[in-house]
Amino acid sequence: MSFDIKPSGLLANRLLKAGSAIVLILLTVSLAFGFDFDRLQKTLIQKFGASNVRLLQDWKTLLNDTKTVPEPDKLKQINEFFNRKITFSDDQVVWGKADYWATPLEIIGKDAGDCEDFVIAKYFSLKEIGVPIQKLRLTYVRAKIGGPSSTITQAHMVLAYYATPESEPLVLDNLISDIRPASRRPDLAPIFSFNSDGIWAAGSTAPASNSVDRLSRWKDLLLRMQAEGFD
Amino acid sequence: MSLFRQIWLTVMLSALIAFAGSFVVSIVTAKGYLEQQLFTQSTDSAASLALSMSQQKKDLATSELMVSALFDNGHFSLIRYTDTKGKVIVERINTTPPDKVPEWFVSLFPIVTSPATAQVSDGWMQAGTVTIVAHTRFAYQSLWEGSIKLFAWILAAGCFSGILGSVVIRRIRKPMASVVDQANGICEYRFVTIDEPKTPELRSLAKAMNAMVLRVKAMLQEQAARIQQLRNEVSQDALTSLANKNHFDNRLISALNDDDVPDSGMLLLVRLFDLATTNQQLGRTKTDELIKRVGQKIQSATGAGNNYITARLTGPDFAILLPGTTEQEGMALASQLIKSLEELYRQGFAPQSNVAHLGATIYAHEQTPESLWARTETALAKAKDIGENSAFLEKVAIADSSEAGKDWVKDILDGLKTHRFATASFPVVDIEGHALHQELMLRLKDKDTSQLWAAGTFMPHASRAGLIPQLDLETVRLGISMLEQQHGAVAINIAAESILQPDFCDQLLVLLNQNARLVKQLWFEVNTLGYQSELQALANLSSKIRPLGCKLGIEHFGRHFNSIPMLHEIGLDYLKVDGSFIRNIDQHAGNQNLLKAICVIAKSVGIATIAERVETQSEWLMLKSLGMDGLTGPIVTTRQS
Repeated sequence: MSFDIKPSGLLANRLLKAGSAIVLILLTVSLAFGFDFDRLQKTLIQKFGASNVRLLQDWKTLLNDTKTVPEPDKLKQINEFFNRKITFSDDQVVWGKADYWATPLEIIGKDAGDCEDFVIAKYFSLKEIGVPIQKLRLTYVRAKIGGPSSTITQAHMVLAYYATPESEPLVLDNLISDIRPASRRPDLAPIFSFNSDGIWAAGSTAPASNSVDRLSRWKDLLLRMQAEGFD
Repeated sequence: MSLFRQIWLTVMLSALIAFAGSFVVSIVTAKGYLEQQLFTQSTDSAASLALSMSQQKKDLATSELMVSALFDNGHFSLIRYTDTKGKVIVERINTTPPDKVPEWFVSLFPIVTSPATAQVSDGWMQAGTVTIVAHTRFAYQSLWEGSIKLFAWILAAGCFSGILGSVVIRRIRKPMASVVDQANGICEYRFVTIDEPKTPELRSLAKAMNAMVLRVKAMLQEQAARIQQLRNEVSQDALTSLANKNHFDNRLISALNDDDVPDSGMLLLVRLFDLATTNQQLGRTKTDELIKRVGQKIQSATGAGNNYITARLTGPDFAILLPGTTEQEGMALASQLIKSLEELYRQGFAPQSNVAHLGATIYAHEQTPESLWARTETALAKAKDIGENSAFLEKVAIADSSEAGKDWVKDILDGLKTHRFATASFPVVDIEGHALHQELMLRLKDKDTSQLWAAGTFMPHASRAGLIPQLDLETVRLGISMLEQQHGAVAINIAAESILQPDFCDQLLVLLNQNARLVKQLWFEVNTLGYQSELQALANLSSKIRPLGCKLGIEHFGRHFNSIPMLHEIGLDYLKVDGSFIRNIDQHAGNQNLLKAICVIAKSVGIATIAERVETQSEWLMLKSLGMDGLTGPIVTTRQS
């Protein structure tokens, strides 16, 4: 039997995907209840040794402390935490791969990451402490290295925060330590933005059937996060 | 429900469940897969559209163009672009239903597509959201076509498994059927062995049944041999193997009274000359040898395959009864016999040239045996007067000679054409005296005098002209029309020569099938001489008519000195034991033993036994104690009238 919409996988493959969807549902539901730091710590020690347990504990304390502060403070503290504690480094250097999306635990374990890793860590941290994801966008930007007048450009990713849908976003960047409105970042030209809303069926926080199948980076990331103890 | 039907149903039902299950699972799986693919398609398209729109101006014309460009070139049921407040800016909807797919299928397996969204931005600012729903039309078509293919395949596989199941079942069925047939046969006292099937379970069953059948057969054969022996003991002369005096006397009474035997004939009495002297001269052994030779000569002179009865009465006396013979035929036989006896002297077996004399007389129905014997003695004395080795016929005036010179064959043929036949019935009762059936005897109405001629009168002529089968069929017709008018059963005599003719059997079957309602009331009885060919024909007839419901029997059982048939192999319902074994049964221990043995073997193969020519109450009582099931004869007839 052949259905000629898309190249079809084997039945087993399909079942596997269906299985992942169920895992995702569980994951999404449980994410709302916070991270399991005991398990995260165990995973951290197991994978990266005990050297960065301290960093993890700091992160935990931060998340606890910022739960009740106003949103601007949340942004500030989370942005500062990662920008200060994590060293920027290429995926090639950290992971030996051209492009790799690290989980928050991995970035802490390695104590290093590239722009996407920073954005992901900040995104999930803010989400954890109660910032609605509708206000957050992972944004691909074209960055001019060395200032707005520079002719050298580089693919970069930042986290944009929209206080309201119409407002000018605040940009959380790992390249500069403070949060600035987008208008004060002439060096960055936004190309495309997205958040978890895009991968789920509209209007629901639960993922539609196998919605992340094609967004393999997202799926990969979320699955890895679950394995590590983000549940 | 038969075992095979159950097996077949089980096979078909499980195949059906398996196939239906796999069909539904396949469709549901395919449906899920299609839904997922459609959502992926929607997501991808939404992302691309949002990406493209983010790079363009956000005026209405551009937005519309971009949405239309994607919508018109792709497969979507909805593309919607809303601003940040949720207000619809551009919307394109395509609700074309899937063609070539029936509605019931759509409602049975609905393909649910989730809308996918992606954000459009204008520089750093949010511009809006695109929502895309992929069209299900091709998914439905794909699902429908796939289902049809799957269904066709499942149907083909189902048919194949059905055929395979049938073949397998047929393979088991054949040996199983033969085992069942054998078991049924045993219930009907048919003891047949079957080929051992290849299936091990059935093989051991068949083996056991075959062994049992063989044992039963051996036992029955033993019993049959015993009956044969007893019959010979009571009815044969030990030295010559001819009938003995007692048997001959009984047969003579039958010949003088029975309805179905020729009403006239000849009695010959042969007496060896001066046996006492011969005995002295030759000694006992050689005298016995002489007597044996005489017996052989008599037997070869009378020949086989006819109804002549030959007997050794006492020491020197031999008797020959020739029912239905004319004077000329009888005397020709007599002189031929005398000549052959003369040879015994030349061959050295007889001590003197005068070997024997022969006295003959003609008999007719209603005459007494005593008067007959007196006439033959007179004739014998006159033969002695004539000289050595001579014969003499003592003539008597026959009261009614109107039948002499009559063209019987012509009259019978005419009678068949004009239906001038009638029947006389003789009651047959069970051992308690309750009616069993009426035995029918054919009568021919005289054309002129409307006198009824008994079967014995015209049957010999009909036999010579080969008309017996037609007369038998006429009797069957008369019996059937009798049953249409009255209750009870009738028994019809069928001649052995009739059942040997395939034509007769076919016509009989036609008659029976035309009157299927009455068939159960018909009893057929055959007067068999006991030849192998006759028994074979009888078994054939049995297999054809007994399934219709009529009964089949042998009449005058034991009359002829051929071997007792293997009763269990023929398929019979009853035996009418010849009157010659019944007469004076209360005083004849030998006949009692014989009857007892016949009853035992008949009961063991499910055959009823009926005694013929019962005359006295004490005979009846004896028959009852011997285990007979029914009787007929003068005592029943007079009791009824």
